[in-house]
Amino acid sequence: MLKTASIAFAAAIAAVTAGASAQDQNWDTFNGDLMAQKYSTATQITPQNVKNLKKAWEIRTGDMSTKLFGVPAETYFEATPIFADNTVYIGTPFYRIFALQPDTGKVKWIFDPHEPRKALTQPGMKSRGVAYWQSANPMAGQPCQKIVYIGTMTAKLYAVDADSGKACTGFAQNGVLDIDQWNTAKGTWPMSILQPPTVFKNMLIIGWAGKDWAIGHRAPAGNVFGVDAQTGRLKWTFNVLPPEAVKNSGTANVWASMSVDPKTGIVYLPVSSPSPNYWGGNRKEKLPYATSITALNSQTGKVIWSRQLVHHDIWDYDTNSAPVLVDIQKDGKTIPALVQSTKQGYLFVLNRTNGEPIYPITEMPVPKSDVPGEATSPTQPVVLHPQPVMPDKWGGVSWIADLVSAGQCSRIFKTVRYDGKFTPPSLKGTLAFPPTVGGVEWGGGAIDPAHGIYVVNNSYTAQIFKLMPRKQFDAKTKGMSQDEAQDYFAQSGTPYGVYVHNFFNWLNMACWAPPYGSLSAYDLKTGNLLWKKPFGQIQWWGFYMPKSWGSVTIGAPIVTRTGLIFIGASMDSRVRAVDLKTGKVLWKADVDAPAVAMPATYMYKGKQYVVFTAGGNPLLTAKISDQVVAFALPS
Amino acid sequence: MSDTILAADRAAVRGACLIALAAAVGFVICLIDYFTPHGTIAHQWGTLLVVISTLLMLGASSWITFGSMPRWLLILFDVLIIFDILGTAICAYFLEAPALLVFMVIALIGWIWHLAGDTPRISAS
Repeated sequence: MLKTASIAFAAAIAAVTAGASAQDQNWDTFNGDLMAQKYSTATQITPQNVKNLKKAWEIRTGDMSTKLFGVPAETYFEATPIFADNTVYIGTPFYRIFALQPDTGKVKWIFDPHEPRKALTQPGMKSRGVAYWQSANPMAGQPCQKIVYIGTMTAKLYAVDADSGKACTGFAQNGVLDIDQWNTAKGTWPMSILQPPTVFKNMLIIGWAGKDWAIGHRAPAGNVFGVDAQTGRLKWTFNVLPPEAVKNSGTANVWASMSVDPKTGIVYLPVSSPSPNYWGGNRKEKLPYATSITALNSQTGKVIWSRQLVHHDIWDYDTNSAPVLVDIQKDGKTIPALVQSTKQGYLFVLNRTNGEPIYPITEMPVPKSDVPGEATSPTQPVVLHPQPVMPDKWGGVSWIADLVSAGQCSRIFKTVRYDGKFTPPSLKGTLAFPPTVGGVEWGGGAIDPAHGIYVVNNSYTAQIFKLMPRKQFDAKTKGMSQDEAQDYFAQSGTPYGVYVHNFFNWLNMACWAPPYGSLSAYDLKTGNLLWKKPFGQIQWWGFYMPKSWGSVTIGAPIVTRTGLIFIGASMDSRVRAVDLKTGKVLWKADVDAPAVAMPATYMYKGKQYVVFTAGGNPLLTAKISDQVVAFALPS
Repeated sequence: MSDTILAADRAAVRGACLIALAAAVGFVICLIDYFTPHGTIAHQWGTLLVVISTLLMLGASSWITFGSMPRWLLILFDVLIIFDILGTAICAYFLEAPALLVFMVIALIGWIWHLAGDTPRISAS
């Protein structure tokens, strides 16, 4: 039976392989393509030969900081390399662009905007890379017919000629667009462009990131901008929040990548939660676009449909990744669908033309808040099929962490409130599982569109949210250094500050029982889970913990037509190739630091390359790096 | 007459010598692992731990090989060395340092050899 299934699978792959096109073997957007499928039709690397993959080239950009040596902030190198016009482009946390030779990694040019090395809105300097545009009707001999864009922490968007690395002076002000000119709350923070803009036809669609956990009210409203790709001229603005809400709230911004249906021109926005993040007593009005998927006309910015995924969000459950667009076969019909993974661990599978659920969404009664002034939503939307990537209840206290801390984990757990998913933040402290950083992170999932198999990695983490009355909060944080205060968020304009911290013991060991992360595959035709396995390993003091524990994961998988998944994501500084059919790890390699960006794969001169950036994440591990490394089969 | 060991038994000395050799190679491996730029276990507390444990093993086994000591101290060293070998081997397993693990197996063979041959002559001094 198994053998028959394998033959059928191989035959199906062989059949679809025959139709591979050269264009599909680019990787010219953050997610590989506009539909955010993270899928490549390249077929050179197969489950049979992947074990032979070797390092083809690597570079270290030099753009790395560990807070030592005079640079005051750490770096978060989360950029997915893009491959377009026979060049690999990558953006760094110092906001430089590197153009690289695809087969050797040799530097063609470097663009340096000389941006300040300060962490203005994030825990460190962060970049998720660059975007690429090329004219449909290029003018011969003219520069900037192909443009690479990089955004910065200071809310600048730079446009650079893709061939020469020179600024495109015809774009905005001498090649620089100041997004902060549209900031509705100047003086709070710059609208940082850490995620490269989404490029569709002649339009750049731009969201931004801030620090909504720090400032509660009068934060910039989470507007999204449509800008001409060549001139930088503003074409439309999508106001996420109603004007009356902006006084006491803000954000509900789009800080993650977006997806576009090229046939319909609809852009799909993963909209984040409004501020203040953990107390909503000042923002009880309906904010229908907050924590939602919202579909816009990409040329006008008009709303086509929107679906809220968390009502009155007080958990910072941002919709945090581009929905994956795919046509699925179900009950004999082809349905234009999207799959939205979430921090809560639900997979919302919707008809992308109208936002209606393909698999049912249930309004589930959830626990009430006991904090004065708060008014929680009585229900929250949940999806029970496909099976959520996160369990309903947390796995309990880790006996090892409890033992070595002489029962500290159990003692803490007894003091906090925990009533399952959507337990609201409280004055005594609430165990959040999944928390702000849990479930599925900003990479989202990937799809094999030929078979309708969706792959997604997730983390099992637990945090404690403790609201603190203003006086108590001020007294507690008075005189704290920036490092000491990093888990305390003022939520200004509200009666409560909040203390958000990982549920660790005094040895910095996770107090919740493993696993810490997994990789899952779903059949979207039926919604059934095909397999789910602990993924990666945790490294403590250099010791690799058991494979069954898995690892917290950041970043995302990509899928190839030959039935391979390539993924970094784990905290053990390893990158892996996984069999799409079984979940078995077929190949792994060591890299400098956790590869917390999704990889890219492309064909160049007849050879397939898989490229990872191994930047690490200073919040999770001490190892960070500036490495870009490509793997290929030996010649 | 004091209970001082001259390490006269040839097998016991050869066993201790093998431990010292394995510990020395293990120590070098650990040092390389600790200082290898961008290595998977470079600059990690766990790697530093095995640097220290192999160094201690080298010191103790060298002392047994070349020095003299009271019998009670020899017994104590035998016990400490086996803990050191097993502890370092466990660390090597979790550090995924196979070469170090191999040399700890060699050290274990040396320890068994040393113990099997340990019929010490009590020196007259």
